[in-house]
Amino acid sequence: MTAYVIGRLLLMIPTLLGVASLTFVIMRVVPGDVVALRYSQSGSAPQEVIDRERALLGLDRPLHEQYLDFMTGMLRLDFGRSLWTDQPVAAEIGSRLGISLELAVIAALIATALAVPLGVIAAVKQDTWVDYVIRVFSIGGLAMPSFWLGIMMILFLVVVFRWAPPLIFRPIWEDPAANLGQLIWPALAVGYRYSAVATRMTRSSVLEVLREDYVRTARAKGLRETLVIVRHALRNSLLPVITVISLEFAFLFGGLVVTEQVFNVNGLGKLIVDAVAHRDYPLVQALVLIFAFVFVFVNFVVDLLYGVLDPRIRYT
Amino acid sequence: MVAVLRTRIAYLLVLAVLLAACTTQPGPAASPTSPGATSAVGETPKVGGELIYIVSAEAPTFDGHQSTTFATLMPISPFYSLLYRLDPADNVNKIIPDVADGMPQISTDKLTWTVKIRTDVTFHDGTKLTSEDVKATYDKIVKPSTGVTSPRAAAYAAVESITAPDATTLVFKLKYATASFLASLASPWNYIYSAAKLKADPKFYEKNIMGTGPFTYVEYQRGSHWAGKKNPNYFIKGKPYLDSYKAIIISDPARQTSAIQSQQAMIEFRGFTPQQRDTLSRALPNDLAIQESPWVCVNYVVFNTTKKPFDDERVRRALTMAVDRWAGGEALSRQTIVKDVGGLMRPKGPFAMPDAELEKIPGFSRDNAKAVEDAKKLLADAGVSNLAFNFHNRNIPTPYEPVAIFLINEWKKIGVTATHTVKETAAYQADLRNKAFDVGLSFNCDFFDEPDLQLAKFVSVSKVGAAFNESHYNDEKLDEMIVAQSRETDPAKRKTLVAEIERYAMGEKAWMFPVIWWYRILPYLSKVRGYRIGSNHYTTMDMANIWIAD
Amino acid sequence: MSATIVTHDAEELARRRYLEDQGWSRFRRAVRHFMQRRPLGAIGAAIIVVMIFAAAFADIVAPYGPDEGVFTGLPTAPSLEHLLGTDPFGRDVFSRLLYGARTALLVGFVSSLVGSTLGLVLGVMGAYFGGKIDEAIQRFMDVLISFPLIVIAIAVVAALGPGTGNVIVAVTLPVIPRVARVVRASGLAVVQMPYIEAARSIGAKAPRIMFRHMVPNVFAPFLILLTAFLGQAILLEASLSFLGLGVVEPEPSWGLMLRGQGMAFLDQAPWLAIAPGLAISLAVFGFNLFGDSLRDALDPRLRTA
Repeated sequence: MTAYVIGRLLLMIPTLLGVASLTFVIMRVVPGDVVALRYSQSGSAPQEVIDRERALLGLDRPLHEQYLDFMTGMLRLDFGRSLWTDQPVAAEIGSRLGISLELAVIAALIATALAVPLGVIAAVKQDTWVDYVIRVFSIGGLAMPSFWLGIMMILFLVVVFRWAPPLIFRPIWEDPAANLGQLIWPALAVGYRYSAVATRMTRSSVLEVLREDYVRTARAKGLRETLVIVRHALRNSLLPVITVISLEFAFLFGGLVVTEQVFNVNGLGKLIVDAVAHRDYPLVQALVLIFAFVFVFVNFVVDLLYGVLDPRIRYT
Repeated sequence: MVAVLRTRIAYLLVLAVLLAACTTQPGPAASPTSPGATSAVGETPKVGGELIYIVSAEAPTFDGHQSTTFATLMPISPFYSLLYRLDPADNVNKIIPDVADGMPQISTDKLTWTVKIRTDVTFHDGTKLTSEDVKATYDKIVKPSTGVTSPRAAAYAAVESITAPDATTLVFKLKYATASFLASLASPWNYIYSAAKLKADPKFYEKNIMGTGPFTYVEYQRGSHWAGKKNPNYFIKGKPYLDSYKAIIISDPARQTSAIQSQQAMIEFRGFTPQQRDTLSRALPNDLAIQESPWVCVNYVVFNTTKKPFDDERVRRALTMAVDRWAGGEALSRQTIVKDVGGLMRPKGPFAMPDAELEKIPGFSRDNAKAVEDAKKLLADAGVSNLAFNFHNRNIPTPYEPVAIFLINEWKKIGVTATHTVKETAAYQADLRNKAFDVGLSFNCDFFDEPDLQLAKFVSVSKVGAAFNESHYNDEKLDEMIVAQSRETDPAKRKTLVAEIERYAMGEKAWMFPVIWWYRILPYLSKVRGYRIGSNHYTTMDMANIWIAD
Repeated sequence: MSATIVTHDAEELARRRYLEDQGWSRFRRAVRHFMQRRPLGAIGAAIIVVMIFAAAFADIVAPYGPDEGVFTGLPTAPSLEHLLGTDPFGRDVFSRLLYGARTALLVGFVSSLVGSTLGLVLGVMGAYFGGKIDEAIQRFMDVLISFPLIVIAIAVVAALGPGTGNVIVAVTLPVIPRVARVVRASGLAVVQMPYIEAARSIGAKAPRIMFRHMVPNVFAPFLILLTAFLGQAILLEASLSFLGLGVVEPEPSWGLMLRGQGMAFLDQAPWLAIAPGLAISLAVFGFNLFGDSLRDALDPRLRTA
């Protein structure tokens, strides 16, 4: 087991190195220049100003030197300074990381709270109108563009209640009402979509378990149906559901871009859009690495969970 | 009440089926003209309250001297003063002193400008402002030390020296007389900094705030908002009126509208589209004020003149002649932020050419049908048939997208096929600079009606570089004309010279040509008083004159 | 060609007819069965058919060209002349919607087909060869899958320029690793089957084994993923166009219709936004309904969320 864990952890390294290198290459291939952008927001800046500033930022150095700098910096967990604001990248990311994480967690909770009961009911009532309604509802979540749903939500709140979610983020321990008042709406918008995937997984997983012998036995023993479902079917079908919820969490975390934009949530998604648009290389590189790390790490945890939850799986 | 309820139920129903919010109110939106938009004469400003406004982008730097974006000016100007400034009651071209004590004394040869400095100004850290501070500020802007960038240094090329003979006197010596120098001293970017702070660290102001302005720094949350509170020691007694302000960063236009609609924010100073205005005026019939004005901003069509057939002035002239600006301005003004037809200077501004004159310039004729025929002939003369090119644009919808669709349609009339190629801003800029385009849609925005500013783009590329001159041409004659108008200090003569340039540069040569001038629309909560729209969104952002009515 | 038919082998002809007949009726029976057992899937299929029809015959069905119109600056309300009104450029919204189906389907089909096929090839290769090759493919897929979509999209669009073709590239890339993973997992089970061993032992070449023996056996998950990604690709195209990173005006695209005019005139002319919003949702909904039922029908045990 220990060997397996260490092996898996070591496997994360080439993936992350690959992601880092790919980001480096992509960002340099894409045309555009942070300095020109910075000094040409309204009107223009002379070429010598742009050249001098590029030299100050070290952007005129050979690419392999820049690459080496970035890679060695990364190993020391030092991502340098933002080219756009000249703040340390860690400071740029720091305050926003918590907001995105909280949003993703709330969305995951909403999705789970929706998906598990709906999935179980759909499975138990398979091929009845209840099943159809639930499936249509959940596929609806997959079909609607999330930016669209978000814009409609805000419009609805503003028009009907003459109220819109708070614009300024407050930490939950300082002002829980303002905190949730801001984050619950984007969490609902993404949580709905997210729940669609989890509902389908719960449904098929429960369906599968319901066909198993021990469920038939439990029924034959004369156990009440609810008891059979909760104690036997649900518990044994949870593993794939947990998997899908965790994996979706990883996707979700990197996919909050449009939602944060629409709801004006000051998170990492908004930051990466700006960073890419500004050609802020160090910030983009650090953000992509964070997203990739969360993704890889969640995958790793899911694999471990399998071992803990399912005694049939042994690591060799 | 019933009607309101019915409307709300209608909303609920519509949303329930996942459709758009479908309003039931019929008819076009009323376009009220600013009820109590500015503080009317005799109205006593009320003291107190917090101004909450929207800024649509985050400031890349705190240092106004280095910035080129409103995103710095809007949230940060309240912390600073200028030497001279635009009068908030006019906000177009009336320049008044800020920390200067009176207007400058100008020698008869117009080469020595002496400015007196107020003696009652203190920085937020309690130190007194002297002429040394103003000198250090202007030294940084005009002749930045190594490692400090000053993108507008070229505008001060005429400055020979800056001296501070005593604590309340500052003297600018010029190499030659220039008409735009007072405007340059009133530039909204030229925040007055502390000489001591600059001496200790020339980059101090990139990340720190310490000025003499009407508000003092409270907090800044990256990506979220700025906050400031009243400076009790502000040198203008009785100001500012506000207790505090918050500048909230919101980039999404729909969220900006809903923030005003829900009254979470009161104003967004850059301006909204006609649709946003109409939405807000329907939703807030009693709480909204609207100001509108021609803007010192315009889109240019630029050419890669190093490439055939755009090196031929006949082809360029044909392309400007095909455009029916008069009809286009009217139609486009209904859906985006452009409206008036003008040459190289802002329509209705102090340098604007009369319409009768303008109409004689190719591309500005009222008889578009004839112009189209002439344009076709020009293309035939140039030996160009079935002209097809890529029309290079940036991926910002307002107003670039509708303006581009409009132009593409206009060019169809003379048998020209333009394919719209859109890139995000960084790539778009790089392509324009590197001549990786055929024809492009560019823009220019300034803080003042000043030919030196608006004509900067037209100087030969060998002198100003491709960041300014996106058409990549060299034209000695035009350069001389531009210098001549700049040195001409007689306003009437200067105006004639500028008109000459307009006829030559956009008519005869058509090096690049303006499409339709932007039009600023400012809908905001009517309780915000004391802001006048003026000609631009850069000046008078210190909020000292803003107050909130009950 | 005709010569063979003239040689009337009555018996042969009858046999062939019988077989064809059987094939056709078998297909019809399968369809009827699918419709009865899986009404939701049938609804999905119907939506897809309508959409394909609209896209294929847009030139005939659409009352106007996609960028034909009188420019007045204001949209007009739905009328008999313009079923869904016009946008501010005077363009018929209904016609643009039909032509937009073309863009959506083009992006959807091409990117999910190409992406899934590349994923299939890589997945099968990984499973078959194992060892270093498998390891290399897997690491590369890991990199690709953990890369945020938005960066890929912006990079592709900024580097290659805008337009439908490059949107397809941007939408294709994220599909590849997702399909490769699932196919590899199914492929690993197949590789251990005795018949693969048998094929190897009689000296069959690797490509032959992979494509004759393995691909058909992992085809079910491949097909299911393909339909799932079809819907997602359409959604992604709409999102990218909405962000200004996708299809470019004046090309008709549902996402674009939502973004520019649709959003701007939400209050004054809601039909500009309702129509494309509904079209996107319906299309994705259709593909998902169909894909879901297809999965149930093909392999109820398969876990491809």
